[in-house]
Parts: sequence; C-alpha cells; structure tokens
Amino acid sequence: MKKTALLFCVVFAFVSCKKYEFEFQGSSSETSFYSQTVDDDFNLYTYLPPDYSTNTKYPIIFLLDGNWYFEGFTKELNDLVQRGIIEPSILIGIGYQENVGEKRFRDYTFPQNLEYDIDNGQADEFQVFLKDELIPYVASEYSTDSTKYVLMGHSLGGLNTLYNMMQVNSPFSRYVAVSSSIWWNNAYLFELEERLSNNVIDLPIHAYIAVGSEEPPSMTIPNEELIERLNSRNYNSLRLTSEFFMGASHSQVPMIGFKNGIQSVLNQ
Amino acid sequence: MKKLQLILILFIGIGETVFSQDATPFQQEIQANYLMELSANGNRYGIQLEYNKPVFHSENKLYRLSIGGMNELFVKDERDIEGITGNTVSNVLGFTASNSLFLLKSNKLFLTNTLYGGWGYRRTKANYINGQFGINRDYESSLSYIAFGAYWKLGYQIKDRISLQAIGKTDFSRLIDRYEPTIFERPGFMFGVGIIYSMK
Repeated sequence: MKKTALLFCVVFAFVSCKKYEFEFQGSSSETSFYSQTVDDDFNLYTYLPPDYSTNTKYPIIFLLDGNWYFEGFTKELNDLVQRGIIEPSILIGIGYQENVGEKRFRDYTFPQNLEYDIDNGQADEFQVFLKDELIPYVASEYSTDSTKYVLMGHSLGGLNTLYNMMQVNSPFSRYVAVSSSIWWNNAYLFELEERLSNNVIDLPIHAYIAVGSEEPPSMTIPNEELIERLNSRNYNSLRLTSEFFMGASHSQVPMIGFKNGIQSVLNQ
Repeated sequence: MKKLQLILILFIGIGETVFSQDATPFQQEIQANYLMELSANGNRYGIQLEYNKPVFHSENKLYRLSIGGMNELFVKDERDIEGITGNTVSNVLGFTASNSLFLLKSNKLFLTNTLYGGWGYRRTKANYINGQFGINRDYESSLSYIAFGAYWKLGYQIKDRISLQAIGKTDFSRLIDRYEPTIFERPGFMFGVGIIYSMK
C-alpha cells in the first residue's frame, strides 16, 4: 500500500510539473541591416503583434543583445499582450551576424577603455546608428507611436540603455535597464548623469532600473547610487521605477527584469 | 521538468542510502576539507567540516554507506573593480549521506560520493569609493536558502587513522531558484583537498 502511494506521488509530481504553454500569436522575422555609421551588418529580429494593422500606432521596443534575448522575450511579450497587461507592441531585437561577445563591447560601452584588448567605447556611434538609421527605417516600415520608443538592455546592454538615457537628444522616451554595467571605465556614466542634470531642468521619461541581490557589489552598488542620484534631482516628469530581485544572479535577472520593466514603462 | 527530476533523484538517492540497510555501527570519521572555486565571476575559498557515521559495511569490506552532518564556510573577495572592498560569506549547515567504494587489494584507495542537503545563509558586505564622482556607499545584503549538492572524493589511507583525499563538488541549490538563468550561468563547480581522521 505504501509503495503504491509512493509511486502515485512520484508519477503525480512528474505529470503535474508539465509547463503551461500559451498559444503563440503574432509573427517574427529576421533581416540584415547595414549601418553606415558603425560600418557593420546587424541582424534585426522583428516581432509583430497579432492582428497587426497599419491603422494602429504601436509602441516599439528596441531590445539590445537581440541574439540572446529576442526569442525568450518574444514569448514573454506575447504572453503580456495576450493577457491584456500591456498594449500590443512591436519588438525589434538588435543583434549581430558574428562575434556577438566582442561587438557588444564595441557598441555598448563609452568611453574607450584601453585596458581591454578588444574594440570598445563606441556607444556614441551606435547611438547615431539607432537615432539616424535604425529608427527612421523601422518607422518607415511599420506603424509606430513615436512617443513610445523603448530601449531595453541587460548588463552592457543596460549600460548602453542608460548611456542613451543620459543624452539630451535621445529619440527614446522609455528605458528598461537591467543589471547595468555602470562600473564601466570607473563608472563614467555618473559623469554623463552630472552633465545631463546641468543641461536640463526636467527629464520627461519613463525609466526602469533593476538589479539582482546575488550579483557582485560592483554591479549592485553603482545601480543603487544611480537610482538615488536620479531621484535626488527632483525631475518633475521623471517616472523612475526600480526593483531589487532577491536571490537573483546576473544571468537570472534579464527576463524577469525585461518583463517587469516593459510593464512599468508602457503602463505608466 | 529537469529540476524536478534532479530533485527527486537526489531525495531517492538519500532515502535509499539512509534506509535501505540495517544500521551497523563501524568506524566513525571526521573530515576537514579545503575547497576553492575559480571563476571569472570571482574566486571563492572555504573549508568544510564533516562527520560521518557508517551505517552499513559490506561483508567483503568493499562498500560502505554512512550518514552524517557537515558545515561549510566559504568566503569570496568582492574586490573586482577599483574602489570596491568587501566580501561575501556563505555558511551551510546540513546532513550528508555517503557511499564509499574501496579499491585495490589493500582497500586503501577509496571513492566516495556524498549527497548533502541543509540550510544556507549568505551575506555580502561591501563598500564602493569613487573619488572622481563623490561616491562612498556601503552595501549589505543577505539571503537564506535551501542548500544541496554533491561531493565526489578520491581518498587514500596513509596511516591507520589518517587518509587524504581530493575533492570535487557541485552545488545544486540554484536549481530550485525562482528565477531561471537566461545565459552564461556558471556551473558552481569546486575542487579541493582534505584530510580524514577515523575514530573507533
């Protein structure tokens, strides 16, 4: 009798563990895009929501490190849209055709750090690519709501997201920066934050900044410091949400951060 | 699904090890082990103390099952960028279940697999000073968690009561985290050396 009960428990545990699968809707595609500014070919991964229509204007989410996160986040986004938590949105994953690990250092960091023996520090050129090449292209191809351009990234991608956030002429109005590598080059981002505060009276953006408790202090402390500094500026129109994920490591934060972040910046 | 399978296998393993044989007191032993984890995310060093009480010994003395308790203490230096000082201390208190296979004619060489489970506590205390941007910030975080994993040990008896061993260790604790790793999660493999003292 005991053996039967035990066997039942084991079988039940296996069967009940089957993951809930929702029906994937919408469509996704992959195209190549040459940037004159960066002088390189990018891979663009595009997700269009179900019932996409040119009569509707959609928020556009630009996701950095598209090679790694596009597929996973497409499922999350699809789920959020299907459950009516956020409005239908277009996702553009920005990826590379080769040497992903090296090229993200080249494009996502600023300024150049000579201690690294790979190309780095060209976030200024990457920003021109986003602003003058990619966004006009996406806006010409799809029906977009230019007041809801979201830039989203993790780690060095988070650093680049914050780099763009610190630019006065940034085309984005919403930012999701998860586990951002603010430590880059002696935390130079704080110089940009200081300059921004000297140049603007208000910061009319929606931002989400998150980090995990199991990340090294070199990751957590600068993020906490940045959140505190942004809040201390008393920007009237800044909508800043921050989150600290207890028990989450650097590699565990991206998807939950993206998911919570996109809800935060699109629903505010 | 894989998580649950691993957890079930782990508990079935422990259950079998502990309850499948009649207890026969034999030589108890204590171990002191030094372990290290070398990783791009920072190195961890620590000691593990373990007490084992055999509960079964095969008649030919080639196989032994034992249960016991253990305590781990690991320290990770968090000085990975300029201006950061501090460390993370992890402590695990748990139960162990081991099976040992004795090799060679003399039975002096032995392989031991140990499963452990228990309670873990991790605390990080750090400070970041960046003079250029006027940052001087303290940081502290702590976490309690269920710890479990496995040790693999290759030992050799050098004296009547003294043996030395080489150790590999994997921590499975992250398998039951509520967040799944998206990319580049480190395996958490440690290695080290230790000494065993056998008691009567």
